[in-house]
Formats: sequence, C-alpha cells, structure tokens
Amino acid sequence: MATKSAKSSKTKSAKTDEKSLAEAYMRYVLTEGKMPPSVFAFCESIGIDEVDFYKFFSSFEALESDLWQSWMHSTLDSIKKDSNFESFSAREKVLAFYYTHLEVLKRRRSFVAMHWPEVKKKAGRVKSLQAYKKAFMNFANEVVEEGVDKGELKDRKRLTEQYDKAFWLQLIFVVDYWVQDASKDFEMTDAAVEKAVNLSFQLLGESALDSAIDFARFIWQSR
Amino acid sequence: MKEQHKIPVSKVQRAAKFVGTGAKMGGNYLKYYAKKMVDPDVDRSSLDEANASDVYEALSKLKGSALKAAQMMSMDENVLPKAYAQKFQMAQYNAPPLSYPLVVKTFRRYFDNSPDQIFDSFSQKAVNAASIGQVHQASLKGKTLAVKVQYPGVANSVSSDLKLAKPIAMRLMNIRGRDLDKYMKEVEARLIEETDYKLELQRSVKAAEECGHIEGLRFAQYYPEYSCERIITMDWIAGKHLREWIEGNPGQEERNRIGQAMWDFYDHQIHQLRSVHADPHPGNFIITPKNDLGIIDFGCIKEIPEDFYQDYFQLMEPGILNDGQRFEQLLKDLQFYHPEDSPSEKAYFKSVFTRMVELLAKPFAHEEFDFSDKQYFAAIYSLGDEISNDKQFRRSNAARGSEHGIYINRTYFGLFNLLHMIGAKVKTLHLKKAA
Repeated sequence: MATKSAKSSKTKSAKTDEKSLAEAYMRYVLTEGKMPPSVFAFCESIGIDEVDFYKFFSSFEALESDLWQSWMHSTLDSIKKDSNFESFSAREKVLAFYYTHLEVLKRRRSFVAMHWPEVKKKAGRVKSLQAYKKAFMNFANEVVEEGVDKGELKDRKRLTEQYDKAFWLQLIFVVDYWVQDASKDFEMTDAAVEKAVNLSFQLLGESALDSAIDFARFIWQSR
Repeated sequence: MKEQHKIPVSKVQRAAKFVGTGAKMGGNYLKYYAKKMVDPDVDRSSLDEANASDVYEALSKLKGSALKAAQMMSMDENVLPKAYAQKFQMAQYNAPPLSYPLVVKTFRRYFDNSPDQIFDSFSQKAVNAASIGQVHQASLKGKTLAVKVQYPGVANSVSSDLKLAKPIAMRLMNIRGRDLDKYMKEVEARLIEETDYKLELQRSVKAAEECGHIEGLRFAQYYPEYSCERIITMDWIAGKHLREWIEGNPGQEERNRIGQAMWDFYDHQIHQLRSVHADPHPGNFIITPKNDLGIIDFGCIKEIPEDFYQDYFQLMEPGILNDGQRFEQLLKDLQFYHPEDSPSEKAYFKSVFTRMVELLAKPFAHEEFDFSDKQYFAAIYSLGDEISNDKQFRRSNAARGSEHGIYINRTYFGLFNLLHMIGAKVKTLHLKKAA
C-alpha cells in the first residue's frame, strides 16, 4: 500500500470489502495507537462513505470479532488439510493446533499484543472474542471426544463436559505467554506449549488425581 | 539479560524444584544424624545415596543444561562420592520426548517444508533421546539418515539453569561460591556451544577429516543442506550401542580392537589436534557390524590451551614424582595449591595429589595397559571416596585445579571408565612413538 499513515485519504478505496476494511482498521489502530473515535471518523480517514462500512460490519466490535474468527478458521483449515493430521493422537492434534495458530497470529502480532491486555483483564470474556471462542470450542470438543474414545483422556462423567473449557483457558494462557515472550523467534513459547499440553493430557488422562479422589471418598465413606 | 527475566514461568518452576531439593537434602541430613545418634556405625554413604537420589530426581525433571551439569559431575568420580556418580549416570538416559507437531514446526521454520516433504520417509516418533534433543530416522534416495532435533528454549535457559544449580554444586563439591565461578563459567561456555548445531556440524566434519585415517573408526557423512541451528542431518550408522554390544559378550580380540580405536581417537585429538571430544559417555558410540567404532555427537569439544597442556601432561611423565621440586611447581601452575595454604596444608595436599597422579598416570607407564583390571578401578574409586570423606580435605573449601582441567579430567575419567566397561587391553604409547 502506498499510504504512509492511516490519516492520508489518498487511497480512494480501490474496492471496499471485508478484508480491505479490516486491514485498514488494523492499520489505523496500530499507527494511531487507539481505536478510531467513531465509524464516521474512520471512514473519513480512509476515504469511504460511512454507509459502505455498515454493508459489512455493524460496529468495530463486529469487525474485530470477524478478524479473530478468521484467524481461528484459517488455523483449523490449514491443520485439517495436513495429510498427517488424521493419524495424530488427540495430544498431537492440540499441539499442531497451537503451533499453527501461533504462526497465524504472528503475522498480526502487533495488533494482538495491543489488544491483549484487555482480553486478559476480562479472562477472555470480551465480545469480540465470542465467535473465536465458539470455533475453538468446536474443535476442542472434537478432540476431547476422540481422546475419550481412544482412552487418551479419562471419562469423568460430568467433569468431562468441562474439558473443553480447560482447553480454552489453556489457549488464553498460551497466547498470553506468547504475547509476553521476548525470546528469539518465540522459542520459549514452543517449550511452554509443549509442557502445558503434556501436563493437561496427563491430568485429564488416567492420573494420580483419580486415585486421590477415590481414596478420599473411601476414607470419607468408611468412617 | 533479557531472556532471563522474560521467562518467569519456567524460572520460577525450576527454582521451586531446586528449593524443594534443598529442603529434602536438609531432611536427609537430619535423618542421618538422628540415625547416627542411635547407631554410631551408620555409614555416610547411605546419606549420600539418599541425597543423590533426591538431587537426581530434581535434575531429571529439568532436562537441558541442568541435566548436562549432572552428567558432567557424574563423570568426575573424584569430585563426587560414588553414590552420586551412579545415580547421575542414569540421567543420561532420561528425557521426555518432543512432540511430532513441534518437530514439524521446527522444520518449517528453518526449511519452509515439513520433514515428510524433505525426506522420503521420516519417523514421527523419536528413535533416540539425546540430552538436549532427540533423534529421528529418515530416508532419502535410498540412504538412511539420522536427524537430530534440539528441544526449544534450551539455549535460552543455560545460564539461568546454571545459576540455579550453583548452590547445589557448592554443597556437593564443598567449594566456596566465588571459587566455583571460574568452573561455572567454563561449563557454561561449553554448554552454550553445545546448543549451537551449526558449530557442531562444522566440528563433526572437521573431526571426521582429521581422525578419518585412524584404524577402526567410522564417521558419518553430514548434510549441511538439511542442517541448521536446531537440526543436524547425518548418515545413520547402523550397529549396536556400546552398552548393548558389551551385553552381547564379544570376544577379547574384538574388545581390544574397539578399545584401541577409542584410545587412538582420544590420543590423536589430545596430543595432535589439541582439541578433544569431551563427552565420552556410552551413548555417543556405535559399534558397527564390522566391529568399527562409530562416533556420533560432537557437541562438546574442549580446546586445550598450550600452557595447560604442557603442565598437565608433564604430570603423566614417568619419574615426575621423584623430582620433588618440579612436581611442586607443576601443582602450583595447575592451581592445585591455593595461595592461602599453610605449609602443613601444602604438605597434606601434596601427598594427596601424589597418590592421585600415581594412580592416574599408571596406564601411561607401560606399553600396554589392561583396563579390565578391577583392582585398578577399585583403587581409583576408593581414593575418591577417601578424599571426599577426609576431614582435612573437606574442611579446606578452596577450589583446586585449573578450570581447563574439568573437561580434560572428565574426558580421561570417561575414557578410562568406557575402556573398563569394554574390558580392553590397549597399547597406550604406540601413537606417541610413531609421532
């Protein structure tokens, strides 16, 4: 793009579509360091009519939500395209997801990093992340189901229904770690992912936890 | 340094582990003294063993550089009581594997392609663990290859791991902190080199060139086009691991052949090349079906400075012990004496080092030396135990010996131990004569 700053209104939008709007929005936020004051101001700065904006998005929030969702979808699409993916164990599928997702996010790192403090403050409960979360939960559920079927994860009845939420929290942790990671090529994040996923599969799989609960229950009931 | 405070999670976890170990060790000492009050005959080795297993447990969870530090110490029987050494030797065979998706990611990062796009076949599971990485088997154009992939973050954590290991090392080695620093620096430098696979590749190629002429050795061919900072690709050397081979109970002639090749390999490096493969543990050697000694892994190379070389090997010369003045001068140059030593301490340490040198120079005193000699090794171990239990030696908590000595001692201890395991009779002087 020829534009140096988001303010320059030279680019009489060649073609306005979702993608170019999202790009222009990210550019604005990153160069200005804050959200545009209004949709009007934003459209003015990129030289389109406000009406054209609403053709695609109802608000900035909707636009952001769309962005996050698209990153999730492109991650899931690309791992499922990999010929080895089907043969992976549940643990490997989760790992493959993280590594691919971080690559996708890396292209947008500045934007993600800028937004992250707010996401973190609300523990992921921000509106713009809802669609993103939903797409991830679908994936997590698939993996959990498969993991339980193959015996990689232990079926703990009602608790099993909460596994996907555990993975969601793990995703928040991973992205958070990555946002703060200052190592070369984010190598430390790779190590963190590896360790976090191993731990979660060990905890959710048949583990000492079950024996501990079983034992506690026995002592409780037999007294 | 920026890496260090930017990895708080892992550092805190690691620190917690070490603190836990420290507390446990304290507990072991308590138990020991309690037992001792009841039964004065309780042997200190039961304490050492309890401590060793706790330290080992903590270290084995760490992987990476702390594991290497454990391996290092395990080689130096002299520094560590026997119980520690045995426990630590197990550390070499224990590290959880890297997941296949991460291996793929590493490949994509450096070669823009996944391993199965680059090779005709590639094992998803690691076939072998190395201390800071793991080995996969691959094939390309009919050749079988070994592909070594490094764990992520190892290079980053070397320095912080060592800082955490320092208090334990101080306690184990009974050395003051400031004296320990020069050794820690030396270990750190080697460990950081070890995480650089590009350097390892260069060194491997060089070693293969410079030692290729030695009878009975086998080196792999390396493939720089499929190697980078974190990955090394080389020929797969078919054969048995050293331990496995020994378990198969080979004949004496084969034992001698392998032992001789190993000796010559080290002898040539130390005396001709002045830079030596300082990692002689059994996992780095493969015995081929033709009974050649295959050498893999050139991560740890110690360059020997000229001054140190001159002093150190004079100690091995026959007759040096009869030349009191020269011997003392050497001990001083090699920093075995501490500037603060009193005359009586000097005399004491001279007698200790005399016994050590007597023992360690023994293989160099004759044309041929039989490393299967159990008595010889029992004498080395018992001297080590005796020294580490000796009150006067323990009371003096000054560091003794040049920092260059760590890796050279380790190399010799490792080599002697391997030759003992192999049970080989070796001609120890023939290369020197030929030169």
